[in-house]
Amino acid sequence: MKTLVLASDQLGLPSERTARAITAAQQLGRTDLLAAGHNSREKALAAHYFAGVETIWRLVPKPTLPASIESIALHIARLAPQYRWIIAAQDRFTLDVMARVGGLLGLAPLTQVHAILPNDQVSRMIHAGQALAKVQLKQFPALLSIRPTAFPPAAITANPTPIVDMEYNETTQPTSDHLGYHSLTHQRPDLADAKIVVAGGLGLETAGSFQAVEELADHLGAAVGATRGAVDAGLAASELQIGQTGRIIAPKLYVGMGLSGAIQHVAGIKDSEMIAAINHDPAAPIHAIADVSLVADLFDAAPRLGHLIATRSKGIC
Amino acid sequence: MKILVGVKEVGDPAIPVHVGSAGETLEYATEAGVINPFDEIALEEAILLKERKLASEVVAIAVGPEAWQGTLRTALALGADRAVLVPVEKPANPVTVARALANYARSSNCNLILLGRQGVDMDHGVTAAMTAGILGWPQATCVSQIAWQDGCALVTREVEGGQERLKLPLPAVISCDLGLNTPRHVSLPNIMKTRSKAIEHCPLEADPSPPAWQIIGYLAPPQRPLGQRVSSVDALFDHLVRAGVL
Repeated sequence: MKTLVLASDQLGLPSERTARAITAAQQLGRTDLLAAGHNSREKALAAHYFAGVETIWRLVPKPTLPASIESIALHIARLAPQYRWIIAAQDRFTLDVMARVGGLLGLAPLTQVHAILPNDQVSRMIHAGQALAKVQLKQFPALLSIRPTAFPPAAITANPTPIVDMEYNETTQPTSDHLGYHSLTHQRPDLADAKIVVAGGLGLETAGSFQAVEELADHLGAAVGATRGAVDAGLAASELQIGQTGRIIAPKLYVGMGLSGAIQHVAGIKDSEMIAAINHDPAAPIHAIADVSLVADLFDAAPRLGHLIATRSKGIC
Repeated sequence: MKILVGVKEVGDPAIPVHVGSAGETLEYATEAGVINPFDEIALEEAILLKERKLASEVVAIAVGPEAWQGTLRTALALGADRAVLVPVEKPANPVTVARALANYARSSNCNLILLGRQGVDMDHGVTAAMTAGILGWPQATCVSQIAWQDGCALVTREVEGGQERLKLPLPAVISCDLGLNTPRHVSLPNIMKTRSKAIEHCPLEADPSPPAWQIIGYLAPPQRPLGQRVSSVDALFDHLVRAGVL
């Protein structure tokens, strides 16, 4: 039996995370993809050139029927008997749909999936990444929500996958009504796509702002991230929170400044290629996690590092 | 509006957890549990609605061992009108929890279920949407703002790269994120008052089907190689340049 991938979503646009779910699905065999939502056409087209998908099902929205999480879940629950695995890369849209499908089918989804193992087993991260639970699947279809940072994106093919339109099943269930998205229109790259992320913590509190973090980020063309402590203290917007309950990132370079390296924050950065840390407290746990770390006052170190980067990019040194 | 708030007890999230040497158990440095931080936000929101006279009753419910009575008493001390324990011996699969919440909400005519967005121990984050699916009610998860208009909830939820706004008719299930409110502290006199209050017991209904999966062991997470401490900003810069990450 086949695997069904549910395409991911970011503010109503197709998300690159879909390509990572396809990689996970291919470890399990033949794969179809479902593009759902009011933007299902864009999602189907974006998935068109990913290698290894047999059919892209596009769920066509109807004017009379909102493409809500509730109606998408109902549709997937009806498709479910044809599939042994239903997989999505974890984001707010897919997690909501998968969990609701789980409620409809009486099968709890497995979230935070870190690896797919032989013999219908998977491992998933628990306790903010402090441990992995090894899980034996017993009922199918199995619903898996994978950590996108744990799987590379699928390859691109020159032969596009055919897209087949599919009608929504009618539902009489009451649904939520989508009123709109509010995008963070800042100049910096989004945490999900950024090659470099500069994150700050409560060490910035004495300055009363995130300026030192933002300036360094701008020298690097980096995204800005924050710890939960910094968000709670009002130093950064909640959308910038990285960690167990925020975003999970895997940039090429992560620079942590004025943050201690609490378990909850580290859960969101441990897949980064390189972790650099600047903290004045030599006992801060972030020094033990970092690939390279410096014990220094961030308000001295950040401007100097910014200067070195700016000088280099101008080709002076 | 009659509100059901799901609460669970978790190990103190600030204290590290280790995998036992045989990989069969998780070792906690302390036995002391706390109310799941996100459930605390859900409970606070319910109590605020009652204080604003938008809710008539707030019922706290836990699906867990008898030892969780302490957490339910905290919920009473914070302002819940009643506390219900659905006793289970082993940690329950999310499907068991979702079914118990749905059954109770149906039989006691609750029309709003407020939950935390995830338990900070097992990090599932699925109970709210599963419960909504079982009941056939509208859902909104990771909600950081709620306004009420003509009996509908106008919610703002945190999503990747921004926020989404949704309108939900009641009955509905909402899971709560940071930023929704700041939970109050429990006062000593209120703790004393709850001592005489009974924790109601509601037996677990037999699951119509066995859980989809079972935990068979634990693994330590992959370790990163030991890092290097540098002594100056210039040395840090050199290191990053040599590693090719700048």
